[in-house]
Order: sequence, then C-alpha cells, then structure tokens
Amino acid sequence: MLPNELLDQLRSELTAIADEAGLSAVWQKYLGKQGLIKQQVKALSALAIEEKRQQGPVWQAAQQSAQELLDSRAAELVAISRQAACQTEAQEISLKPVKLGHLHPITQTIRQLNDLFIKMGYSVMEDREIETDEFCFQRLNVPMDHPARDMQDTFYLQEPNILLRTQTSSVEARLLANYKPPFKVVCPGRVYRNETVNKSNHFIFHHYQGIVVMEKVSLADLFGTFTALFQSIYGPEVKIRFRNKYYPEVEPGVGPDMQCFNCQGSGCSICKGVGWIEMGGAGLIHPKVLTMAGLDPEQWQGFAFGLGLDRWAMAHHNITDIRTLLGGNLGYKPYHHENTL
Amino acid sequence: MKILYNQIKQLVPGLVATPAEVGEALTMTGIMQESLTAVNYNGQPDTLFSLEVRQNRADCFSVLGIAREVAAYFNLPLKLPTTKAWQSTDFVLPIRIDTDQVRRVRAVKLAKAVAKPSPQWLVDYLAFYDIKSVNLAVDLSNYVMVLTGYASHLIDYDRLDGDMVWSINNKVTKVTTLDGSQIDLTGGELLISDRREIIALAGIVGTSYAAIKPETANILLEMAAYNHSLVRQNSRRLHIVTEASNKLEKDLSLAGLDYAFDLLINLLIDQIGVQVASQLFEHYPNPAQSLDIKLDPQLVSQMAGVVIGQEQSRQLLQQLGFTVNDQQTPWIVTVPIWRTDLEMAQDLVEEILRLYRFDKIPAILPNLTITPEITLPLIKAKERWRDWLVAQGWDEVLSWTMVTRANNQATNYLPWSIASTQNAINEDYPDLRQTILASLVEQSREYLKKQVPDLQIFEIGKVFGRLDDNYQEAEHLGWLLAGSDSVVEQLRQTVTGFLAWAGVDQLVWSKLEVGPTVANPYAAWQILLDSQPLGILVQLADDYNGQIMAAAEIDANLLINHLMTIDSTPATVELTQKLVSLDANLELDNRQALTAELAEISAKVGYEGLWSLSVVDEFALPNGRYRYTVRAVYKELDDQSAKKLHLQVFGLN
Repeated sequence: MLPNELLDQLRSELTAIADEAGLSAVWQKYLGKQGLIKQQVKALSALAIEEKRQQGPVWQAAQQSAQELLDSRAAELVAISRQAACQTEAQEISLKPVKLGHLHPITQTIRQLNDLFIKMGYSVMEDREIETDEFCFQRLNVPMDHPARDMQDTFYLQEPNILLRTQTSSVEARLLANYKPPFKVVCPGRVYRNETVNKSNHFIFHHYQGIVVMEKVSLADLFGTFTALFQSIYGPEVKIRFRNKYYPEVEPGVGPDMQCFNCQGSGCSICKGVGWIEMGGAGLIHPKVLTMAGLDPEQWQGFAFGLGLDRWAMAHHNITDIRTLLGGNLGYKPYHHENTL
Repeated sequence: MKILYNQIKQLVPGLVATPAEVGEALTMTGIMQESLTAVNYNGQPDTLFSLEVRQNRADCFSVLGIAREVAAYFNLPLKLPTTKAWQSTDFVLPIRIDTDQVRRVRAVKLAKAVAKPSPQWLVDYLAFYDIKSVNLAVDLSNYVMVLTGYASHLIDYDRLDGDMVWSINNKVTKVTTLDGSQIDLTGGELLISDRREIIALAGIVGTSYAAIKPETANILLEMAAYNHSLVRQNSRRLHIVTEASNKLEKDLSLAGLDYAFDLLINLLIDQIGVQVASQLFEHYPNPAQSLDIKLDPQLVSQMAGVVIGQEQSRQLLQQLGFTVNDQQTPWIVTVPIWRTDLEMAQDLVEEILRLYRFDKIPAILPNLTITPEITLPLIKAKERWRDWLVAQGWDEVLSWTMVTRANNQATNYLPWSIASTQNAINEDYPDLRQTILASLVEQSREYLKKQVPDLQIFEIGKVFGRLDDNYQEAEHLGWLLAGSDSVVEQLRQTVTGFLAWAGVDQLVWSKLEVGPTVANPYAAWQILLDSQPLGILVQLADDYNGQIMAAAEIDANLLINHLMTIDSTPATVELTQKLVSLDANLELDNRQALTAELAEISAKVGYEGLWSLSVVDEFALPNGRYRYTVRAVYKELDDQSAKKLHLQVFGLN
C-alpha cells in the first residue's frame, strides 16, 4: 500500500476512535514494532541505495505524519474527556437570593452626624445610662428642687440619687470632670424619661450632645457649627434661626429652629402653625458648670448643644410612630440594599 | 401662659406692632409663642397668644411680666394701673408665723364686704385662664393674680378662732379642699390654720372652713410668698396643681408683692366698697435687697463673637429696666426688682444679646483649635463590628432596655441581681434588662407574630444589674438566628469568625452547666476567653415557626479590654517554599484539654514555622476520651525538616 493510502486509512480509523485504548491499538497497528508503517520503514534497509534514497524520505515522512495524526487525535480525546468531566462535575448556582444585613436607623443617623463632627476634629464619647443625681442634674446647674427638673420626669432606681439619665448632658458633666480641656466631643446615647408611651413619645429615646471647651468660644462659633450640621443633613438651602431659650446648664441659652420643611414657614400641622420646628437646645456652657468641674470660667469657655435623634431618624426612614424604632415593629426587607454613602 | 393682645396693649399703649410681630419678638427673646388664635373678647375681636415661659422667669407668668417684655423689646413705656394710698386702723391682726418657709406675708382685715357678681368683662377675662367666676371679691383677687403673678387668699375673718398661724404640718393627716376633695397629708406641708381647723394648704389651695360666702362681711386678705421649692414639692407630692401653686412655686420677687397687694386693696375698695379695718400685717424677715452686678462691657462682644457697641449694650439694658452706672469699668448694673433670675455678668450679657437678637449674630463655621482625640477604643470598635455583622447578613435591632420581670428571669445567665426602677409609669416594664438575650427573645416573639422570615438579628447595647449593692452596666453584643438543624453550628462559626476577625485567637467553648431557662439545657455553651467567661451560645427551647433558634451573647467591655492587652501581629507572610501538611492524632479528655494542647504545640512550633493548626476530626472513644485528628501546616521548611518537627512537637518519636 502506498504511504498516502496508509495515512488515509489511518485518518479514517482515528475518526472512529473514542478512547485511549482504541488510540493505543491504532498506534500499535501503524507505528508499533509490527505496525504497517513501521514495517515499511524497517524494510527500507533491505533496499538498494538508489531505491532507498527515493523511498526513505517518503516513508519517514509518512511515519511522522502518522504520529502527528495520532497525537492530534489524542489531544482531541483529552479535550473531549475533560469536557465530559467538567459537564459531570459542574455546579449550578441557586436562585436563592442572598440576605442582606442592615444598620438600625438610629445607628445610621448617629453615623451621619458623627462623620460630620469627626471631620471637624471632634471625638466621640459615651458613658453610663445609670447615673447619679449629681452628674445628671447638679453638675449641670440643676440643684435639687430646681423647677427645671419638672421638664424631665426621671426614672429612679434609688431615689433621690440613682437614676436613669434623662439627657446626654450627663456625659458632658462626666467629661468635664474627667478630661482636661481643650476638647471637642460629641456624645450620642440613649436617654430615659418617665412618660407615657404613645405615637409621638417614648420613655426611651436618643440624644446627641455636642461639647466644646476651649479658651475662647462664642455664640457665633456655636451658630456656625449648628448651621454646618443642619446644612450637611438638609442641604445648603436649609433655613435655621437661633432664639433665646432658657436651659440651666448654659448661659446664654439658645433654641435652634429649622424652617418647616413641609410648609416652608407658612405654618402647617407639622410645625403647629408657627412655621418653624424646634431642633434641640444649645448655649454657652454656664460658668457654674465649669466651676463645678474645677475649671476657671475666666480661662475656659465652651458651648454645648443637644439634639433629639429619633425624629430625625423617623423623618429619614418614613417612620410615623416613634414606637417603631425600638422593638418588633421595625423590619428590614431582607434583599433590599441601602445606599449608605 | 395665655395672654390677649389687647391685655398687652392696655399696658403698652404705644404698641403698634401686630400680634404676629409681637409673637415673633417674644419668641426670639426667650418666650416662645406656641400658638396665635383669633378670639372674641369683651365684644371685640382679639388675638390670644399661648406662650411657653421657661421656669426661670417667675416674673413672666403674669400679664404684666409679658407686657414688660414687649415694652422693653419695642422700647415703649409701660403703663401700670395706678394705686392710691389707703388708710389702716390700729387693730392688730391675730397672725403668727411659726416657720421660716414663709418669706413674706402681707395681710389686712377688710370690713363692709358685700357679695356682688362680677361684671361680664371680668368673668370673660378669668375664663381665658380657666378660672371660674365666684363673686366680685374673689374674682378681683384672681384678676390681680393673673395680672401681676401674685396669688392672694380671701378668708372669712369671722370664722377664725384664735390666731391664724402659718406652720409646717406634723400632725394633720387629712384635709378637705374647697372643692370637696379629700387629701391625705404625710407631714411637711405648709399649712395655714387657726385653733380649730386648717384654713389652707399654703400656696396651693384653701379649705371650705373659712372660705368667704355671700354673707361674709369681714374679709382677711393675705398675700404671701413662700419657699417656692416647698410649694413645688407639696404641689407635686399631693398632686394638686392650681393657678396659685403655679405662681407660688416660682421664685417670685418679694419686692414686687407690694404693688400687687396695693392694687388688690384699691380694686376691692373701689369696686366693692370695703374698708381697711386693721393695721397692715407684715412678715418680711429678709427684705429683698437691690442687686448690683459688675459687667465688663467687652464681655458682650466676646460672648457674642461679633462687635456690639457699649452704647448699644447700655441702651438695651435700660430698655429692660436695668440701671447702668457706666462711669467706670466694669459697669455697675442694678437689676430691676422684678427679676430674680440674674446673678452674674454672663446673665446680663444674655439679657443684652436676647434683645439684640441672636439672629443678628453671624453663623460662621469656626476654625477651632485642634484638640486631642479622646474617642474610646470600644466606641470605634463597635462601629467596625456593626459593619462586619451587617456585611454577613445580620440585621441590627435596638430594643427596649426595660423589660418584664419574667423576661429577665428567663434569660439571665449573669451573676447579678435585677436593677429595677422605683417609679415606672408603665408597671409592666419595671426592670432594666440583664442581658441582650432578654431583648432578642422579645424581639423574636414580635417578629413571629408578624411572620417575619429570615430571622438573623443582632444588638449592641447596655445591660444592667446589681452586684454587691452597686448598680452596674456593661456593653454587650447579642445574636439571634433561626434556621435548620445546623443553626447552632452556623452561629458558632459566626461568633468564632467575628471574634477572630476582631483579634481574638484563643477561645474555649465549654458546656454550660446552668444556662438561662429560655435555653435548651442540653445545647448551651460558655465562651471562655483567657479562662474568663466572655459569653454564651445557646439553642433556644422555643422554635421560630418550626425553625430552630440559636442565640449568643458576649461582653463587649471584656472583649475590648482583652484586645487592648494583646500585641497585633500581621498575618502577612512571604512564601518562598511549598507548604507541608501533616496530620497527627491526639487522645485527650475533652475539647478544653485539646485547646490547651494546641496552644502548647503552637508555641513549640513558633510563629515563623507554623502556617495553621486545625482539627479535622473528632472521635469519641469507648474509654470516654476523644481522639482528635489535627492537621498542622508548616511553612518555610522542607519536607524532611517539617516531618521531623511534626514528630517532635506531637510527641510521635
């Protein structure tokens, strides 16, 4: 048989081969010791020189081509086998959605405020919720029987000295007692007032206190800080006003109001017709508060402000009932992401 | 505090500002307008202000006080009702003051009283203050109280038996007030009485004993000021709040009482025709002194942060009724007699600035000095922990920190007793939670009611208790997970992963001998860190809609304290050789022994040579011990060296 005829025959047989054993048999048939092509190559040695010179390269080339055909088919078979294995072993992804976790709205609100104040160089402080009368009231210039205590119905654990803090100003009193000024600090935290729970009021809620003590601060500094705070949350167009308001721990005392976002100042049910919404309390720290902390009010001055966090969180998260914030009425859609940027 | 626009205008005749402008002025200067309502009074349209007066301004709980503020703001004169001198007689009133809680009393006997009805304007006037008309004499005394802020008391003189005495109660246990209410007394109340009966709970309410009646001909009029704190305490304790107690619990100016007293006598003489039939009784042991405060005028600009001229400061003080001696620095500023809320220079600055108006002070973000960072590590760590948990699919909840007694008892696992409130309005929730578990279990019940799927919640918050009679609180982190059979192991992996990520490298899980009753007693573990209990992991006895619930809780304070003590070693390594994995079996009594053994092996190999050490199998042996297959992966060692080390550290030679 001529070399080309043998190679054609080999091609034809390889097409039908499906596994390595078959491939090995074909190899033996053509290139093994007794193989059809191998025999022809071996037989060359018996030929005359001229004939050997003619036939030699032909059969050598045939032998090489045969090997290439076998290698090629071997590679094909490996690929087929691998594909089959992959197919068998391939895993499938499920349709089950991945549950996402969520931060509580109060945490998100605190973070939003903390981010702003940390950028302005403030530290963040927390302190105890079980407080003494001294740090919740007396050191904030609210002595026993001061009428201002009527504004804050207090939970007592051991009347009259051990109580649940009614305001995060207690952290201010602790801070003034334990740290040397200057400092700039914000204090988020949970506070308690012994009130009946309804849609608008809860006996557990959240405050956010800011305290700055330095050698020189003024109302203009306080107003600038407060304005930056409101602008960061409500945008640069927000309208803020500052009015005089009494708080025993500050002098002068300040009532910051934000123009009603609903009626833009014309008066509606949300702002009770006055066009403004009260947003907390503030002022320059009372000299007596500094003195009680062992600081000389001639040397040190400060400002403080306090905000209620719950209503901010409620407004941002479309929550209409304050009771929702704490407890089983607040749910999170398990697959709904929140862009917290 | 309610006030009509025309009441102000009567006292400030030059007022041209509209009611809205007046309301805005009051709001900006410290007396917030809560509402402004169109009303009809005395046949005329009028405007009713509802104002929030803060507790320090005793002088502003009156029409006169508010009018005085308006006059000061608009720099207009105040026109007070005039009074005339009245004649007294030689008769000495039988009055005795047996307590130092009475700061001032003025009293006279008024004869020839005749019961008359009040004119309609007066009935309407008092109705605005929810005061019911009685007769002209009583109504006039209430009118003066509303106008000036000083309450008075009209007594049927002829009913009195013996001296009328002010004293602190130490024997009377019950009293019947004018409206017939029976009040239990506990002692310490300020009483007015005669030899027979109680005439009044002083400063709060009278009794019917000597109340004036249509036939009353002789009236004893008394007007007093007391230790306002005592009035406040008694009023709160006895749950009686009256117009009089509202006034007298404030720190009223003692000097201001003269005008109110004279005005009332003038009105009673003019309107009823009474005659003063006694000497003026005056008890005034410590007469009010005029108060001078030194003020450095520079302080005004310094506190404002904007320059306010001295002339303007002086002018504003004068508008408010202060007398300013500015011949020297500091100025000497004399406080008007009606103000009891001022004592230092900063108070005067506030007076100047509130009238100047805060909204004229610029709001500029200050360039404040850089101050040291004092944020505590736990505060920062909590935020990182929250992020980690949320990224793992956990939802954060915040719960009531006040719980039911039963809930605390079912969930507590800590060695402390309950911290309880003494005066909670809501009696169902008297206690502070002892564990986060208490809140999470309650939360799961609420979620179950609402059939919320995928329960996977955590909370970071305070827990409270009493230890050795001291109230204590700690920050805890709790998890609650509902799921299939593997939920306890899932939660163990979460807790372990979380703690390892936070920086903990050695944890011991040991069976909890006595867990909280809410837990399955056969599936409760204690988490130990440095041999200290860090927290617990439990399978809950209750299911969640057929799913198993597992909960865990750790003490965040303990964790952060531990993390503060350990050095941070980077996990990063340079790999220059292949890693060598070798297994070995250890036969030990329990997992606790295994943890100790692994720590020892790890120390023997050393940080440089060890890639990881893990338990790949646990097998209970018939002898009660366990066989653990441990896989050690060595780094930076060739096969032979690794094998040699392995045999050595595991004692396999």
